[in-house]
Amino acid sequence: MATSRIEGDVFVNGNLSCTTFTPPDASVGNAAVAAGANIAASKLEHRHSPAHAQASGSDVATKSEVIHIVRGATGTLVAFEVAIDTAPTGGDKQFTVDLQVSTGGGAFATVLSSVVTVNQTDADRTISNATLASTALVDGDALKVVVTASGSTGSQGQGVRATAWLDEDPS
Amino acid sequence: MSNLAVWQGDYSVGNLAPKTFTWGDGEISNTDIEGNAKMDADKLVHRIYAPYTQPVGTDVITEDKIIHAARFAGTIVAIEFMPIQVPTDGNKYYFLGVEKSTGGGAWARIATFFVIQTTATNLTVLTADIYTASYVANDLFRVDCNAQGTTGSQGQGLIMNTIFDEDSA
Repeated sequence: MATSRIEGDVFVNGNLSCTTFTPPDASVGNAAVAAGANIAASKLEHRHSPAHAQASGSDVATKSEVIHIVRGATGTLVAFEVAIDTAPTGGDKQFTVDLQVSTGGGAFATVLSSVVTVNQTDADRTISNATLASTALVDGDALKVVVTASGSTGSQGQGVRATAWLDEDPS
Repeated sequence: MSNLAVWQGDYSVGNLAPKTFTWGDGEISNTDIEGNAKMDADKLVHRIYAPYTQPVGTDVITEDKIIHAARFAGTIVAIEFMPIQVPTDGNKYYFLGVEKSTGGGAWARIATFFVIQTTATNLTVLTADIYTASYVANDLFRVDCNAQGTTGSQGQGLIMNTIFDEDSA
């Protein structure tokens, strides 16, 4: 059957149904989604934010922690951020934070262009953003945060949270 | 170009392919979304759980710890807490809650604090009253936990979940 073409706008004061529907790109906004839609988790990409944290009130210490195992078929590293409660002061004490990934049981390797360094030039209660060198993740990848404290003079930083933000396929 | 006259009643067509389309509010349900849609994460508001725990079997200690660094603006949905083993027999107790720092400013409480004394009940979920639910990008959230008292047995084991709905862009 030939395609009918209608110029201009149409308002249907009733129900409009069709055998197939080709909606325009980006035509669905939040208001169009029913409040109780319960859109299945399997239909969504999910954003996760696993983190390594050390409590305030004690000096940041050299530590490594595996913070996440990727479950979706593929994933994307979106950001890596380091928040500090009390920054180092008065000397050369500082610490670095690295994000590393192990794929298929291989050795952990950094995915950052450079580690995040927190020293006396940083202000209290601020966030530093890393530059990501590699963002692709696959199912089974393990993510590890490596904190390395150094220096001998001044006061070390206290209270740190390093967060990896990643988007994962639902399955 | 002027609108066509309103079409009264119901219409059914083959394939409908408008240049623009105005959805009715609440029209889209789960079944309208294809099974393999993989809706982009950056189009969604995400629900984030920020847990804070102290282990079972050891006394609750005084501790502050950052639990969340906001990437984008959002809303605090709830703050829920459960003591595993509450204090017994003396004056030992502890209290904890959530504080926020905006723009590097001082920490400030954003909700009521939980006070756990000998009168509390093990494994019971408690909910904080939130003073200020909205937050902005780069806000920091911290748990402030304080163990007090000298007699009796201190509580052991706890979990507190701060739940955020955060924009993705």
